[in-house]
Amino acid sequence: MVAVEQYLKPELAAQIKRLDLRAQMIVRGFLQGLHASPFHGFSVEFSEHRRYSHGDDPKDIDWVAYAKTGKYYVKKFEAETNLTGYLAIDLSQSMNYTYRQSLTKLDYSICLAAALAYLMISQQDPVGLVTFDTKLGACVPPRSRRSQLPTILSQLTKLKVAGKTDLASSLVQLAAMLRHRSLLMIFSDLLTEEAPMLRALRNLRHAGHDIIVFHVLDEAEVTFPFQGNLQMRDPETGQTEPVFATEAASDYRRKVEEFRAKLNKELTESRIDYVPLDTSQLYDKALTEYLLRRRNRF
Amino acid sequence: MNFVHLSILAGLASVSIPLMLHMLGRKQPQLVDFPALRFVRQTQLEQSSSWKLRHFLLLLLRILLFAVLVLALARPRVHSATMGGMVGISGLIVLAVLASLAAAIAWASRRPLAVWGLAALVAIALWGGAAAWGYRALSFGPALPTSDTTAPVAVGLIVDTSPSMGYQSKNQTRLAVAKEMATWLLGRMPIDSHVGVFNGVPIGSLAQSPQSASSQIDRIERTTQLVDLLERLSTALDLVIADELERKEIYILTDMNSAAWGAARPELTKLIEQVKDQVLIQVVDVGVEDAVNWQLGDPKVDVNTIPVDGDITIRIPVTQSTGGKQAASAVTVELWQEAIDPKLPEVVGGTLRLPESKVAARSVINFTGDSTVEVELIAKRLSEGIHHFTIKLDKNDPLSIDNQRYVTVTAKRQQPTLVVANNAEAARVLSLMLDPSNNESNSLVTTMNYAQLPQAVLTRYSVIVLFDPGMIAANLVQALKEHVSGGGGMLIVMGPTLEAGPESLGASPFSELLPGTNPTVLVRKESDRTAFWIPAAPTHPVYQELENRANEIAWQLMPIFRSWNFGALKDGVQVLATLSGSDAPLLTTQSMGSGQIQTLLTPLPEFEKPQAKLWNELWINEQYWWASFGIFSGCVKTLSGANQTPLTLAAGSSVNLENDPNQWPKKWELFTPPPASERLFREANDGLLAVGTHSDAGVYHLRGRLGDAVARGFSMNIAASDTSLQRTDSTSLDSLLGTDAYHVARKQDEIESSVGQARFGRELYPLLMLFVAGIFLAEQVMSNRFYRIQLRVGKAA
Repeated sequence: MVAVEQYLKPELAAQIKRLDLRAQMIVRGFLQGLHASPFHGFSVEFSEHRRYSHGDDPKDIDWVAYAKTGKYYVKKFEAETNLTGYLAIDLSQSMNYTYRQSLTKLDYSICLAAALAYLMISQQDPVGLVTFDTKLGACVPPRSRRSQLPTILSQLTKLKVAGKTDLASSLVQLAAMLRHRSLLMIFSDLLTEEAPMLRALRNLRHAGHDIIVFHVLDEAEVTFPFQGNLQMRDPETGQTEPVFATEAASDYRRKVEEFRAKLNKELTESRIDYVPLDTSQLYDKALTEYLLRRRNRF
Repeated sequence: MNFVHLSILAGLASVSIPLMLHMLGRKQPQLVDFPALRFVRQTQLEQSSSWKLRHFLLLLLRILLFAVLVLALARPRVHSATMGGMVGISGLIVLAVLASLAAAIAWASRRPLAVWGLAALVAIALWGGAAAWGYRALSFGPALPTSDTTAPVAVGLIVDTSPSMGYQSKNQTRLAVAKEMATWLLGRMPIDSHVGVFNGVPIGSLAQSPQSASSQIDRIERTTQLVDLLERLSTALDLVIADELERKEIYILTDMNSAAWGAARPELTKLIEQVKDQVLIQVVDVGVEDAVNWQLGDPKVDVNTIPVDGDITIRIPVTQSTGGKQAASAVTVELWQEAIDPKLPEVVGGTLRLPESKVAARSVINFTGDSTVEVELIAKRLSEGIHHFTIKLDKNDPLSIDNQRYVTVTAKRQQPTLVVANNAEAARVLSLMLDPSNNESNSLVTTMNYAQLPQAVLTRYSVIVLFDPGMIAANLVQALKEHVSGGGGMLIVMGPTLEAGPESLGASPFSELLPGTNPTVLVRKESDRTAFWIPAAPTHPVYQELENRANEIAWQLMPIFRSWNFGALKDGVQVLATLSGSDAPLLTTQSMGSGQIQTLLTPLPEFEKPQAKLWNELWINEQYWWASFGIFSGCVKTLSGANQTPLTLAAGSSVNLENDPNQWPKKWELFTPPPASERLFREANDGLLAVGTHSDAGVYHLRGRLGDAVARGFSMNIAASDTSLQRTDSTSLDSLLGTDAYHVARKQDEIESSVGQARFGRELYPLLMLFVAGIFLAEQVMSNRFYRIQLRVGKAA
């Protein structure tokens, strides 16, 4: 029997060709793994009280109503319909990279985005899709109906990397496009100009949007497993650099950690969620982060 | 320095391989896509200088690896004397490399200037030191001969033929082993080599080919005399150095007998030191360590001439050496006496027939360990004539040459002695000193006073002793002169009696018998005890009675207060003793015709007289009184012929025998001793029979005819020291030949090794390969650091 955690492994997801099945598998694995769910009642909103009857969960009793009336009432909930989620996926050239993992950063992001879309649609949350490189690209407007999921998945499967990343200008365009307060889920390796990117994210947050930044790096970009003398090339710019990897590894890892730590600090200060990921990690971290964020809204 | 395979040096071009690889490697490094390049770039700024330096060092190591490998394969050689320096230089280079690396790494790691600067200074100093040392060693050090292994050699071959080379081990004498070794050596010489075999025969140049030298080696035989190896080495060196061939070698094949090496010769040692880089001196040790041997030492006899029917005592040391085993054994020493037969020897049917011998004495020695025991063998009641004795040791040991010794003594009727003294007591004591038997009826000593002397028939006496004479009349002086000139002996003991008229003594006829002119008496106070007897010729037979201990006597305890002295000594006078602190003689000897006169210039022995001052204390000294006894007795015996030339001689010495025409014939047949007996003819001239020089030990018989057949002869012995098996050691050889100036080998492979080193130098191949290994290791460590795992190129979609 396949362990629950196996569903969350990127290499397992990579073996499944159909994205919808991948998304379904990831979410199923995730939900099965939640034994005592801290997210009871998530994605639903209070609608009315009714009299407590035997068999109801006692923790649903509204003790304020009891204090006012002296009778037991339980809360009735209904699905929240106005949380609009946007999956924003970086299509820059650098996202199409992996060193020794089964999924590229883009593949990993797509799987993750698909899983989140699946989860949101299943909870009747409207979800849309935008892509960006130097500017916004394909766009699927947010819907909560069941047919939205195939649309999004279809769009996801068609995604191809384009050019460079300009996250800042893409976010400015996105901000102009969003009419309501939305949950913005950004999937990017953030290999772009650091200051404009942070500024754009802060502006978005200031506009009232919830933001989760899924910082997806390849496992090799985190661990730097190289040895010896190499010529390294940036796939976006085409620039090359001779590297004595053995010597550079520890310093490189330090630099990446510093980068991640800085992003975490800056974004957390702006109440933006920062989820550092690498393509060897399980998906649960990303999904948990989403759900925590989702709950905090209420 | 030169190279065995010079052409391989062309392979030095291979150092371009790592250079090319490096250059190519620089152009085409492995390409890897990596989006997060900006972090790498930040790192590179810090790492690049260190990386470049290490890369450069790696390149340097690879170039060095190829260069040293090629150098090693070219097999460079240096002179053996330079090898120590090469090892030292290598050590310096290693230290210099380490210091350079330390400096480079410290610089790349951005350590303080003081750190990498100090390391760099040390490195520069070490490199400089290594370069200077190397230049000095290779430029001013000894040059190697040609690397052509087939080049001819100038060879001096010295084969030790000393008696000890007859030592047998494993059924081979040492000489046989030496000859085998010499033949083997000659077989390995290039055919046009110049060879000289130094076996005692003078040679003017190295004119032999290896083949002819080999034939000569075959004919070499053991001699009975010790070989002076240093003398032969000196000759060989002169000729080898003078030879035009570049490669020069001298081989000394010896059993390392210390006696053959003799005493150090500073001039030879100096010469060897000068030419040690040009000439290989190879000592080939064919000896046996821990040799087993029983040896008869040099025989000693009391007198060479004894009275008829007298006994002869022969003392001979017997030595056991068991090679450190300290084994117990019993050996028998026999004294064989040859019968006197004037008709023998003769050659019968081609065989030498010698007089018969019988055992005259025998002694058994029980050795409990290695030691020397002196054996006393007595042959009794010898008849008149010349007696030959052979002393035999009944032990079969590896060295047989020292198991027999030979002694020849003469038994002759003792000639009577006339002692003339006015003091009757003195005459009696002197008589007893000369003939202790005190046989009045048949005494060999006649005493009389000076008044009786004119009536004495002087020809009846062999020796006349004039003890403390007074003035002697002219006719008596003439008679005495005739007696001496006819072969008689005379001892004049000058004393106080002559002091009465010394002024007239110088002009008197008696002065003709004295050794000098203008006689005077030297007088010293009795309190002055500073003048005493100094033996001027301690080896003279007159001192023989003191058993050659004349120099060991404390003469200074016996002061001499008065002695006769002369204004000048006559020609031909030999001084046998002098007064200390001056040239004044105390005992002289001079020839007169066929006889001899000896003169004691202070009375000896001196008898105390009341109210008379002593002339000396020689006789009255309680400890050394026997010294004056011995001198007096020695003088008389010398004069009577009892101490005539001994007939037991050292082998190799020149033999000249007195040949009185009245007693001996002019022509003689000489029979040398067996086994290589020869019959030779000798003729006497001017009363002297020159027998010649012979080196074989044994009894030499002379047969002649003077009316009837007459026989005489003599014995020759090899000195015991010449047959000693005492081996020399490296310390002694160092002092003789100089340290590091020679090689010693026992086996053929050892010779090959040391000869190879001397001819072709020491190869640096092992040392360089050590370097190669070290560099390879360093290269591996450094390159593994660069390329620890196999690279996988990043997938770029």
